[in-house]
Amino acid sequence: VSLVPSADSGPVSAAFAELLHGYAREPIGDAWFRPGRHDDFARELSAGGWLACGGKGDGTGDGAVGLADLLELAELWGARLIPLPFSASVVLARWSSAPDEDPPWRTAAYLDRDGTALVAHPERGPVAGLAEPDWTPDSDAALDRFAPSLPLATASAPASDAAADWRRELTAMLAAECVGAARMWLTRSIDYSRVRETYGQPIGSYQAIQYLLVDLYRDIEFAKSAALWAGQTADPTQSARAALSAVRLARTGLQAAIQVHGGVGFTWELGLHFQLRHVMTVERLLLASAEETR
Amino acid sequence: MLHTLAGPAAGSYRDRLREWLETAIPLQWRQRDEHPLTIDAEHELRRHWGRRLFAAGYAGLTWPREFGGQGLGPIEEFILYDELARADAPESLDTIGKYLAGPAIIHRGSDAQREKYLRKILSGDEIWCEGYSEPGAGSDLAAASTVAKPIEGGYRITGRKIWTSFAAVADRCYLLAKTSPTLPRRHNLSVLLLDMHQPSVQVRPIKQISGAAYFNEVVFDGARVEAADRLGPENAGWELVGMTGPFRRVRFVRDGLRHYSELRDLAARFRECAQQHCPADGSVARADRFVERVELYRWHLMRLTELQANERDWFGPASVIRYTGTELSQQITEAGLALACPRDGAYWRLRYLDRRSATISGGSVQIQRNVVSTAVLKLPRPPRPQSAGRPS
Repeated sequence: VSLVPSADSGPVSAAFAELLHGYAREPIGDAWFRPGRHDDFARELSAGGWLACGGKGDGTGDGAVGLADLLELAELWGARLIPLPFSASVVLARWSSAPDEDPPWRTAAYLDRDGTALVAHPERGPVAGLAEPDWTPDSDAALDRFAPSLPLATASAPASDAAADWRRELTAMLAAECVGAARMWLTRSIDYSRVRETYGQPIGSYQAIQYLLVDLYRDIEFAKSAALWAGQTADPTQSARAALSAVRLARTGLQAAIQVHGGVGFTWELGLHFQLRHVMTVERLLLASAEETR
Repeated sequence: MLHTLAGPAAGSYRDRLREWLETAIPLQWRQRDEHPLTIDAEHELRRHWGRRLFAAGYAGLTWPREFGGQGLGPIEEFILYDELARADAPESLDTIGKYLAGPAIIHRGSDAQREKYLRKILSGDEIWCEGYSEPGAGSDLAAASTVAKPIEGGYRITGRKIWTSFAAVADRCYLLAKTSPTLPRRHNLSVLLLDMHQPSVQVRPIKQISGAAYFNEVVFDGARVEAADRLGPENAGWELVGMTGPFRRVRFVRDGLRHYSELRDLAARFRECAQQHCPADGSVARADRFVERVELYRWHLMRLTELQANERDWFGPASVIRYTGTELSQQITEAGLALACPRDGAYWRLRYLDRRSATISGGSVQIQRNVVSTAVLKLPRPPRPQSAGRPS
C-alpha cells in the first residue's frame, strides 16, 4: 500500500487520459447526459480491459495495478464526467468472486443515504459474492438526477466479507473523482485568468485572484492526499472521514473556481455546475457513510 | 519497488527506534513539569540529546555515508521525527547545522571545510545559526546589507542580522553578507562560516508579544572571518542560498512533523476544553473539525514523504503545506481564546499571542502564496504599483 502511484502507473494513466480525451472532446452540456449516449463507450471501455485493470483486491490478476494507480484513473474520470459507473465497476471487479471473464459493467455500487446501498443493474442481477440486493429503484433522493454524471440507483444489501474492502476503495475512488473534477476547473480557471482582463490587466496578475487560485490548488493537493489515505487506511472510520475531507476540499475548490470566473461562473452555460453537482452528491453520500462508521 | 511508510522495512526501523527511545530520554527531561529546567539547563540538555542521537546512529540520516551520515531517505527521516515526537523527546539544537550548513558544505565546501565542520555538526558538538534576515531584508534576502569587507587573509563583518534562531547557543553562523559594493543584486553576496565566539559578535534576545524570546538580533561590529571559511567562490553566495532549497525538502519532513505535533496538541487541548469545560454552541463540532484538519495535514505530509522517497515531483504539493499549517494553528488558538475557558484561559491567551509569529517567521504566508503563484501555477507577475499618488 502506498500513497504514490507505482512506477508503471504513468503509461497506464497516460493511455487512459488519451482515451478519455479522444472520446470526450466537446464541452459538457445537457446533451452529454442523455440516456444511452455513452453505451458504445461503455462497451469500448470494457473491451479495452479498463474495468478489470484493477485486478483482484488481494493483488492477484494479470497486469493488475494498485489502488493508488486506480485513484489516478478515477481522478481523470472526474474531470470528464462520463455518466457511467466506472469507479464502482472497477472496485466491484476487484472484490467480486464472479468469474473474471465478464467484468460487472453496469453493476454499480454507490452508497446511498443510509450508507448501505448497492447498485445492481437490473439486466445483470447482483454481483456474485455480494448478497442478493433488495432492488428499490428510484427510492432515493440521490436518484433525482441532481448530478446527472453520477448514475445512482440504490438497493440495500447486508454486508458480505468483502464489503468493508470494496466500500473503502469505492469511497476513495469517488473522492478521487471529485479531486479530478476540481483539478479540471483549476486548470480552466488559470487559463481564464490569463485571458480575461480587467483594468487593462489579466485578472490572473492580481494577487487577490492569485491567492484564490493558490488556495484552490492547495485544496486539491490536500484532497488528493486525503483520498489516497482513505484508500489505504484499515480503519473504516478514518477512511470515511478522509474521503469526506477530500470531497469537501474539492467542493471548496470549485467554489473558488466560480469566484475566479466572475459572472459567467454561475451560469448554467459554463458547465462548472456539473462537476459541482457531482461533488455535492458524493459529499452527501459519503456524509451518510461517515456517520454510519463513526 | 516503492519506498513506503507502510512497508516492512519502515516497520522494522520504527520498531528498533521505538525500543531505543524507551530508555534513551533523559530523566530530567521527563520530569521537567515537576522540576522545571532553567533556560541554560534546557539548552545543555538539548545539546546533550543531539550527541546521544549521534552516538545511537540517528544523526544525519539522509547525509551520504562517506560524510558520516546514514545514507537513508525521507521515509526513515519521517519515522525518526514521528517517533521522537511520540516519545516526547527533547528537540535537539542541530537544525541549521544538519539541514543547511552541513549539506551545503558537503556539496560546495572544500575538503578542508568538510574535514573541519561536518563531523562536529553531526555529533552535536557544534551548534549553528542562520544569518539571513536583516531589519531591511526579510523576505527579500537579496537586499542584505551586512558588509563583509575584504581584509588581509579574510573579511571584516559589519552589520545586523535579525530573527536568528539558536544564535544564543550557536558556535557558528551560516552568514549571508555583501562582499561587493558595486556588483548588482544577487551577484554581490557570499556565504561565510563565521565563528560566533568573538567579542565583536553580540547576541541580543528579542522579546516577543508573548513574553518569550525565541529569536535574536545579532550585531557584527568588525567580526572576522578567515578567507578559508568562505563557502564557494566570492560573490556566488546567492546560489548557495538558493542551493539549500533541495536540502530543505528533508527539513520540511522534520519541520512538518514538528508542526504536526504542535497542531495535534492544540487541537486535543481545544477538544478537551470544549468537551469538559466549555461546551458552548458548536464548540465540540468545531473541535472535531480541527482534529480532522490536523489529520489531513498529516496525510499530506505522509504523501509528500513518499513522493520524495520515490523521487517523484514533490515541489508543488510541498509548497502549500507550511502556510496551511501555520494558519491552522492560529485558527485553533483564536477559537481557544473565544471559548473563554474557565480553566485554560491563560493557556489560550498565551498560545494566541505566541502563534501570531507563525504566519510571519520563516517566510510570511503571503510570500509563500506568491511563490506558489509564480513557481507552481506560473501566473503572471502582479502589475507594478503606478507612480500616481506618490509625492512628487
